[in-house]
Amino acid sequence: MAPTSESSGRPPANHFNKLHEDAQDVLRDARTRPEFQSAEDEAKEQRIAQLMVDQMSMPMTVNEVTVTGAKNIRRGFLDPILNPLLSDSNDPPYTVGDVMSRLQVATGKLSGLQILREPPQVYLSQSSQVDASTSPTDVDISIGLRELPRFKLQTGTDVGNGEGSAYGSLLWRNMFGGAEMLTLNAKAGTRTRSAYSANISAPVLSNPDMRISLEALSSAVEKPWASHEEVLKGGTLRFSWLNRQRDTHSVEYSGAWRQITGLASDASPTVRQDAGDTLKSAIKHIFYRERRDNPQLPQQGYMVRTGLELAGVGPLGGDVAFSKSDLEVNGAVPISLPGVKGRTGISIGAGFRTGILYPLPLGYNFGGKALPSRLNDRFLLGGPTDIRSFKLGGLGPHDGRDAAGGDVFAAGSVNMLFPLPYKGPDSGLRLQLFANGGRLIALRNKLKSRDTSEGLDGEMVRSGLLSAVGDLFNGPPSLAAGVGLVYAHPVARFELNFGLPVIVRKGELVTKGVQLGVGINFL
Amino acid sequence: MAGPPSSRPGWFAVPAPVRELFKIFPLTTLPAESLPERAPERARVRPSLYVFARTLEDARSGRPSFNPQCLKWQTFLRIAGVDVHLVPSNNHASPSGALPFLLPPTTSTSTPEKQSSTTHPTSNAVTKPTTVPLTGSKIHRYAKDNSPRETTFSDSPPSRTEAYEALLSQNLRPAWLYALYLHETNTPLLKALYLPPSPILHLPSLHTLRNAATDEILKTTRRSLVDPRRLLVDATDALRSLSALLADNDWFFGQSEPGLFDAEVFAYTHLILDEAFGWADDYSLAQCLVKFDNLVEHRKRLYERCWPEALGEEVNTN
Repeated sequence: MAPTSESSGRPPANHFNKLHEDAQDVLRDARTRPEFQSAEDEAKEQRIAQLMVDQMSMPMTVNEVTVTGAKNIRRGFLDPILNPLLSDSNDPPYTVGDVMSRLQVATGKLSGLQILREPPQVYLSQSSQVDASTSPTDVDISIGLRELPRFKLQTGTDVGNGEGSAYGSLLWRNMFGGAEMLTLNAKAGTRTRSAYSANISAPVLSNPDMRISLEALSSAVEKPWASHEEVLKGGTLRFSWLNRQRDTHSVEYSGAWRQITGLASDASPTVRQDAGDTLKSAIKHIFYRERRDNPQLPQQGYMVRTGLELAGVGPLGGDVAFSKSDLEVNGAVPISLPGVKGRTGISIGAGFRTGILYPLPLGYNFGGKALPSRLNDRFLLGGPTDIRSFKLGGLGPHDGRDAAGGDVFAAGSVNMLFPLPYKGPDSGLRLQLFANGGRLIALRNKLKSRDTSEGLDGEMVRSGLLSAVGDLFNGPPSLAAGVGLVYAHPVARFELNFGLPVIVRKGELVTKGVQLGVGINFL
Repeated sequence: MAGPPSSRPGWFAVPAPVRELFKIFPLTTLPAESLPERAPERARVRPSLYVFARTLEDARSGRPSFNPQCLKWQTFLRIAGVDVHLVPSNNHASPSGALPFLLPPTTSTSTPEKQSSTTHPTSNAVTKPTTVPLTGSKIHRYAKDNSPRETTFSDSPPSRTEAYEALLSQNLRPAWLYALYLHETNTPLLKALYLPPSPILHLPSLHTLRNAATDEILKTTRRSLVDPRRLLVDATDALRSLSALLADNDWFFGQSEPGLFDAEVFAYTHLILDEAFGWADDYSLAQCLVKFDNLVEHRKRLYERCWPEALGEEVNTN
């Protein structure tokens, strides 16, 4: 051993040494090498994938689907969900893959109905071969459901947004065994004098992504920002659906009798002018796309919501006529710091809202005079959940203390969120720096000499709105900035801000210093 | 413990540096946004009287309101020579729950409360425009304080006025309420005058109006049932008493100038006799009234005095 190694150097000696080694050791050596490792992993994955593909394309048909635990669900309601699984349906599944994917769709639908305590449990078993009607590829599927209780009664008290209230609600799930849902709500509080609502909704064609709902509402709400109380009685019929991109669309018709009454003793002439009854009959479309990682505390992603409402035109009737459209965009980008791995919890967010109310002639009188907007229909701007450091409805035209509302608005905000020291990016607490501002402008006929109490003709509306939209960008917006603490709870977002107004217009109402905001949709 | 408590900063008082900081903000204050199209002008040159009116056109040209309460004050302001701007409105707008009410002008505002004690005219121009509306006796005071006429309204003896006012409110008003609100054939008239334009709201509103009218009649007549014939008899009695009171005088209580009571009587007599009002024929207060010639003459006299512009129209239509 010694002479050979000395004469021909180390490498050959190694080769020879190898001859003496155990074959197992060589194998082990080779296996520990990284390139081999990855090659083997790859091969393994491929093998499994192939196995899966082979498995998936194995023939399988469904002989029988048994649903257990569906005490209150109608057979006729379950059929459209489970039918695609069965071998006697049209376009039946023939392979394991087909069956699996359809099973996934069906269980997804079932758990989307909001009547189950937990996702359904699925068991597969070979069909009994004794039964002459089965084929060797047949399986039986058993789906175990656990229903939520049919009734839920809830009472409680709320404090928030400058209001204290007590409420009671009754939820009746799965009324007729088709995942119909009836909700009855009653609420009384300091600002909401009383509010009663009844809502019945049901999935269309057993599809949880399509719902139709009918709602009736009766309420009396105090509106201190405009010194009045609004009594409302109305109903809404809504159809909403999710499209392929999981965006929500909804189309609704609503009719409401609104009454501005109970005016404060020092209510302004603007509010007194609009006191009394109006009847709104409108159709509305809403589009909503949510791509934020956490709507209450967005770190990444965006949200878009648009609304278009048409009231009083043509067959709609009522005694107010306008088109009202609004757009809301909100988004955030995470900020990464050099030297910090993973999420830093720092993000920059921005939001923008805009809307326009276009007065229209009532009914079929298309070329006629348009009715100027009323207090109940105009936009309001300002408050802890949109433009912070302003009072609720604090922006825009004011008659004395009363917010008169506006026909055109634009509002924007920028905020930067930082995680709290010792809390880290995973907690719901953030420090925020914010700046927000906006303008709310009322449509105003330039030629004041012309009498407009009978209505505005088309030309006046156009020129008035054009100049109002122009004004939006003519001057600087009313602006405020500050710092604050944000806490995102799963049901709502809380903000405690310290802010100061930078630019305001005469008559606008500001909150200097500390302001508390509670809400689910912040600008 | 020494000194008033307000001089010592409490625990919750804003510290001085923060107060200074707050004073700096906002950095810029821009001019106010203009009010929406429907809002009245910020500056009121004339006082605004909010009344029931059939049409905007009626209100603008100052025609008599169809509501007796509104017409009473409208007439009185005309008697006093106070030029008012009429605004068509409804009860929801009123601080008292019923029309009319008056918003004093913003320019050279005078607070009626202050002036009630001192009789010399508007020397104290108040800095802040008041938006607190005046109702009832405050309109009376306002009209007297702002009347350009030199003739003072020598108030009629209060005790007698009260008695005759009771006659109007206890005996004539229930018949009026019955005729307009409860009498079936006047339903189209009631709809045209008091109900919101939308037919969907007609039924609930009509129901509320009728209930309120029934309650009011039962309360004032202190009977358990509404008896239309009895109401008519009561009204005729009241008119007879008024006729006797007026006798051959031009104005009530033998005054040289018309006063508030004249306006009050006129508010009913004018509307009862107004041919354009749209009364149904089968329950006629007018038939009770035409029997008293001096009341008819009184109505004509006051109308010609307060609405001289309407004379031409009447002649034309006749």
